[in-house]
Amino acid sequence: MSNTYDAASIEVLSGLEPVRRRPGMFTDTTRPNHLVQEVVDNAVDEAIMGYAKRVDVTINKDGSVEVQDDGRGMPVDKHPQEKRPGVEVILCKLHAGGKFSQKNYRFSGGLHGVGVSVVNALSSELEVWVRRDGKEYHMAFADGEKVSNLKIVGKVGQRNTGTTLWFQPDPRFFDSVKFSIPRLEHLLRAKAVLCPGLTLSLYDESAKEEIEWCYEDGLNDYMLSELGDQEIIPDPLFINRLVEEDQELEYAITWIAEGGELLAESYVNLIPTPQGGTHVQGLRAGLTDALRAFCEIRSLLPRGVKLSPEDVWERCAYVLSVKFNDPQFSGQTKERLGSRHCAVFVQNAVKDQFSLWLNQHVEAGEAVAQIAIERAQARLKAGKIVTRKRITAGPALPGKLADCLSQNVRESELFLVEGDSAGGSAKQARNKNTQAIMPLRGKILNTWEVDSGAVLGSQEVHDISIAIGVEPGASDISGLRYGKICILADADSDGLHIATLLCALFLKHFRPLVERGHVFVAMPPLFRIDAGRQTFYALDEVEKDAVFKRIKADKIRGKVTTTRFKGLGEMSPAQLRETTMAPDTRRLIQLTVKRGDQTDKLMDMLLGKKRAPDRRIWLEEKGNLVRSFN
Amino acid sequence: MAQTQPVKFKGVTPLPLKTYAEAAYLDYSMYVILDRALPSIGDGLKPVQRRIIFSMSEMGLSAGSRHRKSARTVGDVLGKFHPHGDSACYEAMVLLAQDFSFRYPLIDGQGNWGSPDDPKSFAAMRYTEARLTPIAGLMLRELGEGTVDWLPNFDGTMEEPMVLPARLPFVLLNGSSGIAVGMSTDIPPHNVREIATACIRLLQGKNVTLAQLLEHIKGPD
Repeated sequence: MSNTYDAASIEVLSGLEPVRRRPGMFTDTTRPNHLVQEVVDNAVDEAIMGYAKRVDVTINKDGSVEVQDDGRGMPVDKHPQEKRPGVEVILCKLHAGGKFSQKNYRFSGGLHGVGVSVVNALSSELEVWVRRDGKEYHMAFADGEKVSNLKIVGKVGQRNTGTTLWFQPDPRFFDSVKFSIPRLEHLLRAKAVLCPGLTLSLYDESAKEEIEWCYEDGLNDYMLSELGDQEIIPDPLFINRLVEEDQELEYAITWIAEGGELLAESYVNLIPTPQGGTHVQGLRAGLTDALRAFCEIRSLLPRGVKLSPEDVWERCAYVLSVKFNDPQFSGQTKERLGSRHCAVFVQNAVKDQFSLWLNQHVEAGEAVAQIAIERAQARLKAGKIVTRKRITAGPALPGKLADCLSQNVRESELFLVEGDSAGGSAKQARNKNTQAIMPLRGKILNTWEVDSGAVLGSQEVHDISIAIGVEPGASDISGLRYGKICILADADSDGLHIATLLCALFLKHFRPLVERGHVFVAMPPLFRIDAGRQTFYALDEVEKDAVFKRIKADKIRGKVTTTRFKGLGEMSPAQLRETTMAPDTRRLIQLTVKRGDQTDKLMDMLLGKKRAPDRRIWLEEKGNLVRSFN
Repeated sequence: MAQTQPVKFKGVTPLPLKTYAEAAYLDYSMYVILDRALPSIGDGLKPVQRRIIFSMSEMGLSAGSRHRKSARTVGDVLGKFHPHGDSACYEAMVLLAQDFSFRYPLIDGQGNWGSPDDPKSFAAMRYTEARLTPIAGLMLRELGEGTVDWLPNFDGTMEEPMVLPARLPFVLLNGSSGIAVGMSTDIPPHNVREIATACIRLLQGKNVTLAQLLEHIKGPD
């Protein structure tokens, strides 16, 4: 390597050298499909303008390709500046083309003008025949260099015009020199779809197969044939187009319910854009806007559900074709559209048209909205479930839990206490070895109609679940940390309500616990009766009367006073221990449930949101059984 | 999963969950219906409101007296009659004082008692002061004359009225709204003159029909 770095070391590549030195910059070098695409694009451009009616592609056995169209034929006269025939200029010079000004090509795909010269550069041999003005011209190239001048080789009918291009890709530049026939088929068919009335054919000589495509009502047939027998909503699918002075838009969309195969194709000036781009973004945004507005007008959204673009887009099958001047692509392979204004154009057009259609076809529109709403709900649900996985992975117990020392499940007990005031008393009253306390702030959520996945959204339920070591809805209770889970609520009506809600929680989401008899209710006394020196506790009015009778019967002397406990916080810790927590003197009730005893039916009537009328009837029947407290 | 036998513990009474839940919820429901969320037809007041008004009248806070700190009233109510949370009691009192919430407010408040665009922005009970309005006198004047039944309070040391002897149907005047279990209430307020005329008609006339009453009461106010 020379040590001098001066002007002489700088190389200027000219002609087609740039392509041969850096083929990856101009085409997809995995296989030569893109070369065919370039030539076909040029032919199809003629068809878009209305000059060509057929494009025939032949893959020969030796790996060479021939593309023939019946357009106007490449220009054969001398170029004013280059002094060479137009054909030669197009094929030999980069950045030469008839598509830079809008005079010749309204919307062309082969935009950069580099297209077909790349084919020439990367082919070991290339020949072109042009039929124009009643004559047939021919020219040949090898390795990008001219090997024969443009010559007239025959006569053809005056009306017979067109171009035939044959080339042999050079294996040096490609990973594999074999064409992907399925991709070619796909490409040609898409072109046929997007250019109604144009016939394309593909003949594979080695397989001896010929296929022809021609679609009059392109988009509909194409989509239906691609989607097969799947159920589509809406049916028939929604197709629309918008033709303006300098841009055109055509699209077909439909939705497929769960599990089907989607179709997602987009084209710019008939060139497929597999990686999408601004036009696809515009379509997505337009659909979302229209659907959101429709849902609002019709009040279709459940509470708390908002449609995001993914919800609308996920199950959407679409074919989108836009045509406009000067599209900007990312890279020569034109896989993604970059033009910003296209997004706005597509979005506005789609939003207006789709909104109109939705409001005219209300039933179908609601079906579509339903799909999006379901996806939104699934997304929200998944979001909640993620929280669950993350948290129960760790050993972090809720801070409020005052745990016990014993790890033995048989003897340890958890008391769920109503409120911090009671919690404080209970913590002082408990036996630290075997009893754990967890205060619950306020009334817990009515979980009877909430899904097991979502129930962890409530902080209280979440804390309970972690403390007991069992997940809601799980049938495996091996992680249970306490043998007895006791509900310790005040004796007043609100305490009973909390007890009911906790029963519902355990029954619905921790059923195995109830079935195995791990759920209890502690019964703190409601009254304390002092007679002289003795103290009695009564659970309720009935017991209080019984105590009074006993006092009379035993003739206990002294003043008799009754205190009514309003809450557990009112009892001193010693009292609480004696009456509710010490295993010897407390009153504990084990809640049982048996199969077929209609517990679920009853709980549903008590706590179901929509069962209020049933509750009213129940109250009318049984209301008088209750002693009224005050 | 096979149904295994529940673990048996000594000294523990088993009880079917549904029995316990039904009894517990029944108790709570009746309590809420009778003693919390639904107004009495006699004076149109929910129990907490009645206790507040009664308590204020016992403290001597009639319309002509000076305003007194709300904390005194609330403390009195909690201690004597209403064994529940203080913030709930105070909020009930605030509602009685707001003229955009209650058609004919029963409490005359001094200080920040909230505003129509933010009814919850009232000041804490240690700052505000209150006394009864003149119209509250309509319910209280005849209280000591044996007009109503009395009940012992929650610890049996005092007595409170079951209903206040209202001289006009306050349940129509002020309306009410509440949600209990299995039922709820929503009564709109009405105009006092119309109601009063209708009452006079009812008292003086014979066999007055609803249509005739509706000549006086045009609708909610």
